[in-house]
Amino acid sequence: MTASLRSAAEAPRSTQPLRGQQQAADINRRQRLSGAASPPAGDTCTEPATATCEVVQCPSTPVRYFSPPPCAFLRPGQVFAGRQRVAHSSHSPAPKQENWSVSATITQYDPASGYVAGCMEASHVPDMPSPVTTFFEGEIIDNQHNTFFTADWEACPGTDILHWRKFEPFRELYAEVVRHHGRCPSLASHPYVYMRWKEQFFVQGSECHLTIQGFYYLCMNRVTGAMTGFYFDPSSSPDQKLEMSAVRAGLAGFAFPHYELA
Amino acid sequence: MAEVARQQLVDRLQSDDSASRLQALRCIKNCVIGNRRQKQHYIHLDAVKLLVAVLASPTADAAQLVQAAAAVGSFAASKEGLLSVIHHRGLLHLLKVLQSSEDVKVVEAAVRAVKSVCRTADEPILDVLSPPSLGVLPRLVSLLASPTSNVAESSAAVLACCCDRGREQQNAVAVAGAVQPLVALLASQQHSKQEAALAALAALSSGNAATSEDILEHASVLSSLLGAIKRGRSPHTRFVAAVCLVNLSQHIPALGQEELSTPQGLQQAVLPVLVQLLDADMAENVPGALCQLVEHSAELQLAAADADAVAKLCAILRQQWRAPPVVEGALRCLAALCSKREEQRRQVVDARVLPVVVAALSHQSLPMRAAACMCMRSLSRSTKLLRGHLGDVQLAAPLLALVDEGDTEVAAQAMGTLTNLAVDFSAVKEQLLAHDGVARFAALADSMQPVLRLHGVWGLSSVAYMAAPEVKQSIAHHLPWSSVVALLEDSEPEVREKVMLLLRNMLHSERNIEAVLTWSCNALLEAARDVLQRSEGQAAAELKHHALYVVVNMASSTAAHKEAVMQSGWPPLLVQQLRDENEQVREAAVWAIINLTWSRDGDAEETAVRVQQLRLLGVEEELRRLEQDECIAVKERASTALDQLRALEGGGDDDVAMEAVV
Repeated sequence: MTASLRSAAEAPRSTQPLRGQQQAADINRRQRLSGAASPPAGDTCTEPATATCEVVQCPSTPVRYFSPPPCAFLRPGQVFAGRQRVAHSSHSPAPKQENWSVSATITQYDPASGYVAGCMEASHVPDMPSPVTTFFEGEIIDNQHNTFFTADWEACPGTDILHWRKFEPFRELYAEVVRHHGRCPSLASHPYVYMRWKEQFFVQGSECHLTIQGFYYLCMNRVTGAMTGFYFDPSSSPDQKLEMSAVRAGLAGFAFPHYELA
Repeated sequence: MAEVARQQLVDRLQSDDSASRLQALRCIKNCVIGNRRQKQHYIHLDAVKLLVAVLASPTADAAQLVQAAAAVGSFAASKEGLLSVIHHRGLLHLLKVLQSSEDVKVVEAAVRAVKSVCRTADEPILDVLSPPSLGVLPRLVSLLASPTSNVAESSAAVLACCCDRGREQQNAVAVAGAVQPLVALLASQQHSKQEAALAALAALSSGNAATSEDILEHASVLSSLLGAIKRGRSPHTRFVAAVCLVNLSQHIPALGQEELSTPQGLQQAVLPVLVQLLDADMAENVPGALCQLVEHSAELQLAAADADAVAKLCAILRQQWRAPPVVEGALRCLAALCSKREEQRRQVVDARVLPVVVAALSHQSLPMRAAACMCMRSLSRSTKLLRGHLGDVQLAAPLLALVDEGDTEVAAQAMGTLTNLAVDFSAVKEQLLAHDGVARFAALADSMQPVLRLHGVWGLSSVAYMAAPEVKQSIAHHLPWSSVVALLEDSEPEVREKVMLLLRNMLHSERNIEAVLTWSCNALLEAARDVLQRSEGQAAAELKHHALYVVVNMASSTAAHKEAVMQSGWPPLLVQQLRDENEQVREAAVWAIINLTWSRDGDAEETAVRVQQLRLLGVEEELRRLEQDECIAVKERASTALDQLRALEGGGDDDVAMEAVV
């Protein structure tokens, strides 16, 4: 979530897509996974793609794209806590910066389909007396269901590469990702997990002035659970960084709850 | 016609004068055909009894039998008339006439009358078509080849009705030789004959491998049916042909010579037809047939969803004029389509039919309630819906009412749904707790029915997931430790696994550990260990997995709790589990080691003792081996554990040092 550039009255309360939009997004995803070299249909991004992103060479030999293995820190019940830095209008003479306390709790993780979901809570949001909670759904970049190219939510390969490159560990994958149209053969043995989290609706605090139009690009250390994210919303503050670490539930160690849906 | 005149006609049915009797028969028949009120008048004058007497009379001639059979058939077309016909054993005498007469017109009238009875009757009226009366089958089969108008169709309809009675009747119809003439009838150019054959073949093949294989022996049948689903004159014809293909596709050999003679090929051919027919305003249960087609195939479910079946099924739910079986079929089909796929669940919510599904949970008919419950269970597998839309509707009360129904299958479905609704992030959890959900789950955990016992424990494990201490106290209050001990020894492996899951969740968070240990009279760790040891070699990975996380959670707490683990006989078992073939079990065992070697500010001495004990058991060597494990998650955890041991060697003895390596 982020501070909205619009008034609270204009801010959308939910980003639940209409059926047609959902279908378009699904088509985009399928095209994205089909390895199409051009930006997916319906992409409304106006941001210029980087030169390397435009020139996409097809690998000459067939490549097998493996998914990353399941990650312990994405299991249901895992809590992350940290802060989100929100910098308003970096072009203004006196840019204003806010730091919100943010936590996220994973409620569902399905590595087989590259899906993760949970709730995010932001506290110490200016003008909000109580925390704001949203429900998010995440795509895990797994080479199978989700690639590094987003293809919807108003992001295009140029936007994607721009954000992914902000993560230091991504730099060693960068050339491969471009060469393989968003997939990455080395991903399965890479020590970081890459995700996109898209907030879907407000669970609490829907009257706030925040918007959930955009989404997070995230990179998580598989061993420590430390996570960094960058928020992308073409209509909102450009500089927003999320930093969270895995909270261990135990007093002196890690504790893991679990549920099984019937 | 005046009452007196009607009485006179009825009296003449017993006349000695054959001509007078025939005239009365003809008059009554002509009066009652298509006239419900006249039927009622004659029923009250006991005309049906006398008409059946004519059928039973050895002296009745062909003309009288024709009129009497036609009249009885007409009476049977109404509910009240049918009861009278059955009461006076009219069906039995019609069948006798059918079997014994050689007169074409008598046979035609009799078979049409039997068909009329079959169309109107429900169970158990048609018990007369049970095996003892099945001597009439060869006669009905022989009539399938009759050139006389309507005889073959009527005969096929009666045979279809027989088949609807059950597997034994289906087998008897096939043994009587019905398959060959029905297949021949299928190729008829006459639409009515083709439809009758389709209906009979659909009934004959429904859920019956033997009869389906008999039908499939006829090479032409598949091409005829495939032709019918494409070019059938009416939606009804296409529907029944599709039902036949759905039935047959489940019993066709997997390796056909052509794509359309394989199960997958046939199913893919039928699917778009059924999905398209969902749009037709038909009385037939198209959703039910589609459900039968897709319920066991993820691939077909996806194909149906791609063909927009969810939106069409939701449209049916919104049409209040739909017959209950069609609505029930739509709910079941949605349950199948939404069972694993999030996108379809969202479509159901977006179509705004959630209130319809909720209302159906309290419908007067049990099958409808069961279907609604299945649908709700599939929807409740979405964490997004659990956190969002499902919180807007009252679900706990109707679902708990279904648990009390007495029908085990429905209760299990309802419990499954409630189990999903009980997890911490669900917006319905509060509703459930307010309705004594914990007590209800605990009571079911004591059930004699394994499936209810399973869901009772499962529900409690969901309630305990990340629950507040008072909720866990409530579980401990309603489920005495003696019950837990009994459940840990349950004959059902799944029950044992879910109890272990419950214990795992009860121990999550150090705020609960002392209370949980008190609940178990400090026997929890030993109980979990015993279960694992007892089932060693045959324990499901899930049971081991949860048992190990019981230890992990316990060891995440104070030094005293870690020491309790060390003294419980678990350490050698943990080291053993580091070599388990299941990677999740290995990973859990490493987590336990990580927690046991975790040092908190001020407990360096105790930690050193624990580390020393574990080293003596060979933990370090095992962890080094696991650093080369094929599973990355295990490798990562093994590295963490080894780094932690090294940090301890280096003198790091506080929490900060531990966090630095994790």
